[in-house]
Amino acid sequence: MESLHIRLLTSKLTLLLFFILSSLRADAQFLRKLIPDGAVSQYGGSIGFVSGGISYDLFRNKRGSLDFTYGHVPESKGGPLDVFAAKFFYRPIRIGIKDIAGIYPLNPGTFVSFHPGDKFENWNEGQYSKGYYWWSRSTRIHVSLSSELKLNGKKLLPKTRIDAIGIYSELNTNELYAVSWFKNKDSMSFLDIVRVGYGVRVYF
Amino acid sequence: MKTYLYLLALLLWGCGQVEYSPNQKFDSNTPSDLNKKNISKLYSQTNDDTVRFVLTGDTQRAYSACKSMVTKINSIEGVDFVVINGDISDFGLYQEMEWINDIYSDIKVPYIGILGNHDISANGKDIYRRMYGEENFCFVYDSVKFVCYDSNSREYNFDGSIPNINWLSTEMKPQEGVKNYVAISHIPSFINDFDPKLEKPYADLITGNKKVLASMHAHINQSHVYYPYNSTTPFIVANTAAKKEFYLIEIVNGKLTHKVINF
Repeated sequence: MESLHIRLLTSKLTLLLFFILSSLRADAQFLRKLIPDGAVSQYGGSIGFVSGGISYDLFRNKRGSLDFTYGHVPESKGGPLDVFAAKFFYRPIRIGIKDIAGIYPLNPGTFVSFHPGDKFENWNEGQYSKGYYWWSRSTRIHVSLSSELKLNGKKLLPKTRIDAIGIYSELNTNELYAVSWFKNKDSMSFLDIVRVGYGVRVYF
Repeated sequence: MKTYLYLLALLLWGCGQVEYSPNQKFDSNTPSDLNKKNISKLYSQTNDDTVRFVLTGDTQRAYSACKSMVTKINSIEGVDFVVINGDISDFGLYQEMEWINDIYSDIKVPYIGILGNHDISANGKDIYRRMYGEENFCFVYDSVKFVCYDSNSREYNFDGSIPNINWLSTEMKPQEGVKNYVAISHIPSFINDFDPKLEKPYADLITGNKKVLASMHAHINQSHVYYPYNSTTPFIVANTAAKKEFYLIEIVNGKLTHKVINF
C-alpha cells in the first residue's frame, strides 16, 4: 500500500513538473536551472535514518540552499518509514579559513517533511467530525539551525568537477514538539525538543 | 566575535538527540513491555486486604501537571498502583510516551498504561504495543480482576470489533481466586465515540454481573461518576491531568469507594 502511495506521489510530481515545463518556454537556459547544484546525504535529522537528494543554490551570493530529499527509516531503527523533505536555509555569516575552507556557523532554516502511507495520510470519510484532530499526521513543519564547514574543492580536489564539499550539523524541532514544550515551559527545557542530524553536501 | 561564532558552531555539533523521524516507533532508550514489568512489580509488593489505587485521566501534553500529580500521588499512603486511563500521548508519537514514562517512573509504585484514541494516531498503536504491551490485558490483585481493554471504537471506524466483546465476556467469566471485577478503558460506553452497536452488549456485561464493581474511563475531561443503564454499577470517569484532578479508589471486601483528589 505504501509503495502505491509513493508511486502515486511520484506520478503527481512528474505531472506537475510536466505542466511547469510546458507552461514555460523550455529554453536551454531554463533547463540548465533545473540541473541541481549539488547532492546531499544526511544521517538522522528527523528526515530518515539516512536520506539523500539534490541541492540548489539560491541567490546570487549562493548563501541560500534548497534541498529535496528522500529518506528511509528501516524497521530495525523504528521504521519502516519513508520521508520526503523540502528544506530551505540561509548562511548569513561566513568565516574564511584562508582559501581552503569557510565556516558558516549559524544558518537558520525551515523544512517540511512528509510521511506517505495510509496511517499518516487518510482519514476515512465521515469517521471524524471537522477539527476532531487538528494536526496533520503526515506533514511536519520544522525549523532548523545548522552549521557547515565548506571545503574548497577547487583547491583541495583539483581536476574534479567538485566545487566544494560541505560537512554540516543541523538542529531542528517541529511544530508538535514546539506546542508540547510551549505549554510546559516551566518543566521542560527547550533542548528537550531539539533533534540533530549530520550530513555531507557536494557542490558541483 | 569570531571565537564566539566558532564556539557556537561547535555547540551545534554537540547538542540534541539524533532522530530519524518524529514518527519512528522507538529509539535506543525506549523502554518495552512496561505493563508486564510493572504488573510483576505489583505482584512482588506485599498486599493487605485493601486495594488502593489511583485512576488518572488523559496525560496528553500536560507534562508540568503530570509532575505535580506524581508528587501528590507519592504523598498518599498505601497506594498499590496507578492507572493512566489512555491518551498517554496527544499525537501518537514515541517521544510523548517516553516523556510521560520518564515522569511516571518517579511514582513510588508501579503504573499501568491504557490505550487511548490519541495513542492510536499515526504509528501510535505500534508504539504503545512495543512500549506498554497488548491493548487488551488483565491482572488480578487481591482477588480483584482488572480487565483493561481498547474501547476506542471510532479509531477503527466502528467496524464492530472494538471493544472486543467476546474477549471481555471470556475474561469476566467466573475464575478461581477472583471475587470481583473492574473494567478499565479510555472511552466510556455512553458517548458517541463508542461503537453504538456494542453499547448494549457492553452494558449487559457490566451491569448484569454483580461481581463487577465498576467500569472506569477518561476521555471526556471531567471527574464524574455516572450510573447509566438503570443500574447501580458506577461508571467512573477520571479527569484529564491538565485539570489537576484524579480519583483515589479503594476496594475493601468487595466494596468500592472513590474520592476526587485535587493537586
